Amino acid sequence: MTTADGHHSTTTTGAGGHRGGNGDAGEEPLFGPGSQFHGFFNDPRWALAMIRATVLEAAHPQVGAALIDSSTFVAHPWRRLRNTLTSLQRMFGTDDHTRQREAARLNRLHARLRGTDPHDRPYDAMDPDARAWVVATLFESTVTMCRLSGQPLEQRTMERLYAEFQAFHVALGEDEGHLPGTLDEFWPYYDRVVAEDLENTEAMRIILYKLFDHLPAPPVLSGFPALWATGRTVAGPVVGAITVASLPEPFRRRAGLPELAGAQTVMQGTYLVAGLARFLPEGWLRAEDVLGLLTLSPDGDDPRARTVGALRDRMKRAGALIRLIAPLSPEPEPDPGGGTERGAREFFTEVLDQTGDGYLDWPDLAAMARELSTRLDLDEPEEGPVPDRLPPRRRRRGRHLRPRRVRQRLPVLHVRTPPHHPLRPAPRRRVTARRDTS
Amino acid sequence: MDGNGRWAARRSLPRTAGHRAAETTVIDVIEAARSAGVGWLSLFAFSTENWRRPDTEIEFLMHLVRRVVRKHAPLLHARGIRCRFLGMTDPRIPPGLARDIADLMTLTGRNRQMTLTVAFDHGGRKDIVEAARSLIRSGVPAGSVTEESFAAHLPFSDTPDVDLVIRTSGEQRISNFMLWQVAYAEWVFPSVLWPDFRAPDFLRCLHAYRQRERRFGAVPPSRNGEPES
Repeated sequence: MTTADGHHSTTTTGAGGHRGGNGDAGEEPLFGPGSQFHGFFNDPRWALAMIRATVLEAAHPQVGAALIDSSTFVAHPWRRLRNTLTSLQRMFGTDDHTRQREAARLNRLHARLRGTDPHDRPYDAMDPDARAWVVATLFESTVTMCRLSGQPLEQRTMERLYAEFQAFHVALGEDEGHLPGTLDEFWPYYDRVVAEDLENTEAMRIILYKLFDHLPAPPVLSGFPALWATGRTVAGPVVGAITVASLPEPFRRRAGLPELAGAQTVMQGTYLVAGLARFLPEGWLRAEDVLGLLTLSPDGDDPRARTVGALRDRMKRAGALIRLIAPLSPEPEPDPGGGTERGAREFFTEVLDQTGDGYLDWPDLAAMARELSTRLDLDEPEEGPVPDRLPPRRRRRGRHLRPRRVRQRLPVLHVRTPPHHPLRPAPRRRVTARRDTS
Repeated sequence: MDGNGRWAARRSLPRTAGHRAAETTVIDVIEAARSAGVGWLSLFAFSTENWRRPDTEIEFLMHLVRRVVRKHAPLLHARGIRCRFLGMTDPRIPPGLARDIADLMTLTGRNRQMTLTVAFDHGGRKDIVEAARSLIRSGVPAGSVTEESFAAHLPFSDTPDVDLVIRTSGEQRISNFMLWQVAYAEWVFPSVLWPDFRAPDFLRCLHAYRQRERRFGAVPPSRNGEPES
C-alpha cells in the first residue's frame, strides 16, 4: 500500500546510491566496521535514541496498530530488545548473505502482520511508507542524539549515515524511492510525516507511560523483585519525561504530551552524560555484552553465570536478613502453588499470553511461532508451515494492557489434540481443526 | 524438647507459658553445643502428630516460632550456625512463618561452624516413606538399593547418623524422631523438664555419652590381656 501523493517516488539514490554491499572501493563501507552506524551501535546514548525512535515509530498509525495487535514488547521487552539488536547486527554486518537471510526472515515475519486498527483503518506491516518511516526514525534519532548531547554530526558524516540507512532500507527489499533520495529531501519528508501523519496512538502511550510501570526485571535481576520495582518506579517516569522532551515540538503539541518544567534540561543532561561514556575503555559498554549480561540466566551454562549467581546469592542473603530484622509484616496470602512448580496463572502469563494483554489469541500463537523460528534460526522452508497453520485473526474491542482478572479465552484457537488428551479443550469451546492434507 | 506443658502445669500456668519458657533453653543449648565443638545439633520442635493439639495452642506455637526465628536470626548467623528445618511440608504452616524460615535458611546457608537442624512438622516414618517414593521415582532397580543409596533420598541426606539423643523430662520413647538416623544413637534421658534444661545439663549428657563404649554391634577390642567377652 502506497500513499497517493507520490512524495516518495523519486528514483534518486542517496549518497552513493548503493544497493547494499559494502560500498565502492576507496569509500567508507556502508555496512560493518568502518561504517558510521557501526560506530554508534555501542554508544550508550543510542539506548535513549532507540526508545525515542520506537516512540516515533509507534506514533505512526500503521506501525502503532501492528505493535498493539501483535508485538510482545510489553510482556517480553528484554527478549524483544535482544532480538532487535541481533537483527540490526545481522543487517548492518559485513556478510551480505547473513543480511539477505535476515531481511528475508524479517519480511516473512512482517508479512503476517496485518489487520485493522480500532478505527477500522487497515494496517499492514509490509506497507512501504510505514517501513520507510521506521528506518527514518532510526536515522533521525541517531542524528538528534548527537545534537542533544552537544556533538552534532558534520554534514558529510550525516550524509554518509543517511546513505547507510538507505542501504539498510534497500537491503530489506524496499524500493529506493520510498525514502527521500538525498539528505536535503529527507528533512522536509520527516517534518511532513511528523506534522501530518503521526498520531497519539495507544502503542505510543503504552511505551511512554505504561511500559516502564510494568517492565519486568531482566533475567539477571529476576530474583530481586523489590529492588527492581524500586528502581523502576524512579527510572520509569524519568525515562518517559526524557523521551517526551526529546520528541519534535510540533508533535508534542499536537499529541498533547506534557511539558514538564526542567524536562528539557534533564533530557539534554542525560544525553550529555551518556555521551561521556565514550571516554571509557573500548569494549566496556558493548551493547551485546550489556544486553547479554542483563538477559543472562544465573542458572545457565554461561561462564559469567557463576559470578552473577554468587552476586545474586549475596543479595538474596542480604534480602533475607533485611526481611528478618524488619518489623513484622502482616501474614502474606497463602501460595496456592505451594512449590517450585509453575502455576497455571504463571504459565499463562509467562508462556501463553505473549502479548501480555490477558487473552490467549492469534497474536500470542503467532508470537510464539515467531520466537521459536527466531531461536531455532529457521529458514523459510522450515519456518513456513508453523505460522501458516494459524487461523486468521479476529479483532477485539476494548482491550486493556493488564486486566486485573486474567481471562483465558479460546474462541479462535484451532486445536487438534488426540481424544482424551489432558490438553483437549472442553467440547463447548472446541473448534474442529482444519486437516492439512498436504 | 519435652516437658513444656508439665513445667507450666507445675507452676499453675497455661501450657503456653511452658512453650515461651522453652525459648531460653533453646538458645542456651545451642550456645553450649557450639562451645563444646558439636558440629551437628538437631532439635525436635514440632512433630507431625503435634497437629492434633488444640488449635489455640498450635496457633500460639506458630507465632512463637516465628518470633523466635526473627529474634535470633542475626545471632545465629553471627555465630556461623547453618540453620535447617526438617519437615515443613504441611500446608497449615502459616505462610509468614514459612517465609521467615526460608529466609533464615537462605541467610545461614553458607555457615559451617555448626549445623542446627530444627525438626518442625517432622515425622521419621514420613521421611522414610518419602525417601521410598523418591527412590521408586528414580527408577533404581530393587536389587541395586543399598542403605547408602536409600539414605541419599532422605531429606537433608548429608546429615550424619545421630550419635546422641537427649530426651528431657524422663520420657523414654523415640516418638517418631529421625528414625533412620538414630539407628545407632546413644540415648540419655535426663529427668529435668526442657524449660529447666540448661548448659550444665547438656554438658553432663555429653559427658555421659563420652563414657559409653560404642560397639555398633561388633565385639569390643581386648584391652590389657582381658579375655574377649
